[in-house]
Amino acid sequence: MAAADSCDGISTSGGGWEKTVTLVSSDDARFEVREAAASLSQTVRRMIRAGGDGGIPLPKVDARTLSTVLEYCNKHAAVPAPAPESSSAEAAAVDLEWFDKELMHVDLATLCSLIRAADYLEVAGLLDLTCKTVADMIKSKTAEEIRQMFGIQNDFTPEEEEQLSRENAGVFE
Amino acid sequence: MEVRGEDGAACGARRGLLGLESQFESDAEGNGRADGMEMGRARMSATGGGSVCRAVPEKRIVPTASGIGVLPLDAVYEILLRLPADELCRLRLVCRSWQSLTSDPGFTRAHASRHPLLAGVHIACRTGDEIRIVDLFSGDIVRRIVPTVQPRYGMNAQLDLVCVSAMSTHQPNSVLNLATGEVVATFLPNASGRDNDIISPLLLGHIPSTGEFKVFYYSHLLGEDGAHGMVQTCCVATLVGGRGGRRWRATPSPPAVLGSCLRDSVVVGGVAYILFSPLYNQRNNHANLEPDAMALFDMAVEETGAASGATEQPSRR
Repeated sequence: MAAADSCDGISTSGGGWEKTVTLVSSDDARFEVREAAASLSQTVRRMIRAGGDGGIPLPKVDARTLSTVLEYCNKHAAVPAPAPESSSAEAAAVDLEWFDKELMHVDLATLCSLIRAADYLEVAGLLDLTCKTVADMIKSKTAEEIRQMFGIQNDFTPEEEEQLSRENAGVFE
Repeated sequence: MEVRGEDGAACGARRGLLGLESQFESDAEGNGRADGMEMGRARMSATGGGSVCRAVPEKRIVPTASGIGVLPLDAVYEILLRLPADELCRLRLVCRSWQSLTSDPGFTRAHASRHPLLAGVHIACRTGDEIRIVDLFSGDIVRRIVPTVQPRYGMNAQLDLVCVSAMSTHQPNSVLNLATGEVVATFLPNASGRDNDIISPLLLGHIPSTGEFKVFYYSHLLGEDGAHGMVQTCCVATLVGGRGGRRWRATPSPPAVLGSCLRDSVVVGGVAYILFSPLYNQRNNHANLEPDAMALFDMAVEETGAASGATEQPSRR
């Protein structure tokens, strides 16, 4: 793959001639992806437009995270847009939902790296999916539980904390 | 969705302030998101250092990343945006950075636009009625308000304000803020105090060009002899902005009698559209009114007009 030009690589996979691009992770792993899939990332799309050879460097994403991101992109870019009310469209939507759910069956650390990657790569759908997943994990947890989850230090003084919880109690009694 | 604050300088303080150091250099666009943070708040956190912190002070600036890595502020922002308002209130207790983020007006605006609220009256015979405010996207009940007077089972809202009309004409109608649940104002209609008086629901209007909020109602006051000689009056008062204040001002009444059920009226922006009462008008020789005849009241200029053939001599199409 190293020889492949980042912007003009051609492959025959999927039964048609499709343009591919090569993405390079922070730990120098190279991924050859269909341009349609890679373009779900606005960051990559801009870089494709800017041109260049030898692959698109993504120094802020490691190989493990990037492969998950690309799994998402490949799946979501593969879905054609059939007539909205046809049964196949419905099946595809259900399938996609399943895929997303499965993809989110990871630990918090992986989720956080995915959020960072989706934020940096600007993959709107993945950012929404991952943030929603973390938001659901946060729901109905106490402040202390959340601090432990994310390793956040409590930087309130006991007095401030007491006052804040008193304010909150007043709002939701 | 980019929210730009007034104070660009706060931007620089952001990283240290949040304690959730970004591993990435956010681009200029990303930085813009949290710009609205108040400078005063930022200074407080940045200099608060050792004295305020009760845990190991030197660790306060360096975020503690226990294995999972730290989230950039943009990511925390995105996550918190997806949580309902009541959750956010509790999350303010997590740390200063989360508190600052959720109190930031830019964040509040972005959050509000993502979580449209809906108010409705929950009818419960045993426990009493309750006004519930529901997050339209998640379906969560974000607030329950026990009204001081029995509300009518229909309300009308403009932006953040919702108008709750009282069932009884002797009791005040109130305007609530959907987001905070506080009572913004209460209005007692100018009724004669007789039980037969009919007061329409209070209609809340928002005039986009001036930003004013006004409330409007009409009443049917019976004459001394009971059924005959009914007087229809229309009143308007300003709730927020403009001149005139919260005193009722009488306005010209339309030529025929208006319906006074909840479903007889609708407010679009600053204009109230009200169906005439077909039965009453028929009996009282306003027979030329078409069944769907409407009056309109323009709250901006405080004038009554006609909509869809609602004159006494309607022109037939």
